[in-house]
Amino acid sequence: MKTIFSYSNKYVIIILAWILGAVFIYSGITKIIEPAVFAEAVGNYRILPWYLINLTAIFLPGWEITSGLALFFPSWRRAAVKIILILTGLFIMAVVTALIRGLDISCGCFGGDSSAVGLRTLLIDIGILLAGGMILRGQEDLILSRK
Amino acid sequence: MKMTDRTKILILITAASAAAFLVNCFRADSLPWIGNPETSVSRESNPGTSIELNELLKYLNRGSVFLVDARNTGAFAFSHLAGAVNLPAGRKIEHLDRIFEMLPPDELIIIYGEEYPSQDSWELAEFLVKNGFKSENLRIFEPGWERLKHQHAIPMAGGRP
Repeated sequence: MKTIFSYSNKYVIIILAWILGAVFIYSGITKIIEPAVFAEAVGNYRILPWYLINLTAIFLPGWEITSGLALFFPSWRRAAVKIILILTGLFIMAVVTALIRGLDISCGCFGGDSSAVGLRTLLIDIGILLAGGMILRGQEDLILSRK
Repeated sequence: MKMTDRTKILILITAASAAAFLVNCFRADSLPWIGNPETSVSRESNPGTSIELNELLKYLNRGSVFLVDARNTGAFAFSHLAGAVNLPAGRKIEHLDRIFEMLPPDELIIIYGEEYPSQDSWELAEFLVKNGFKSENLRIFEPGWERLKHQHAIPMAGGRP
């Protein structure tokens, strides 16, 4: 049955994709503006070896912006959402390890305007994961319905 | 030709990485590709001066000293030196905009962390120096809270451990 919140409702999928795209574009831009601040936030997690911290800070915002932009284009949406799901999954793991170790650090989600890592960060990211899952499922349903 | 998702992902990642590479090559505040392995700040990098307990007591008795607690917010809420402001080292970037409202750049500032060697305090001191504070005004009490919590003569705020 196709309801307003159904995975197959293309308007829900489009709006979700646009919102998620805008969030990732904004998030990427805030990190690009202050690369040193973001590199410090990455280092604060104390997960990556020192030689990967700057590389992550340089490339990650670009991946976020590109996949965010691609979400606005239907033919690229599935590929973009898969990248976003992988990035968000990795970030959730980083947040969980930070919480387990009791680190009182900035999450680095939006450059210098980030909040502290906490349960709220985790819930927001789980929300992003769910939204991404809905977009992926909805896109597949849309493709199947066209066949 | 119909592209698979895998090809599209590869294209997106490659395009994004190339753009990020170029941006970092040409921007004025570019990051070094590989960071410095000596990321840990210490007394050798000289962002402040290490002080002993007797010196800390002297400064406290004299007054007109600003205290900064570099521990996490939970530990600070539980107990801290009276009058200290909390600036957790791991969240210092959040306070960047308000740092001059929180602390006077030309006054003496004493920073303490959890315990010796108080890595967080040194990191915070370096952050303050990078943002316009004078290193000669910064003092680090390296033994940190582990030592302070047993000093019953020093006024505390919050519950005693």
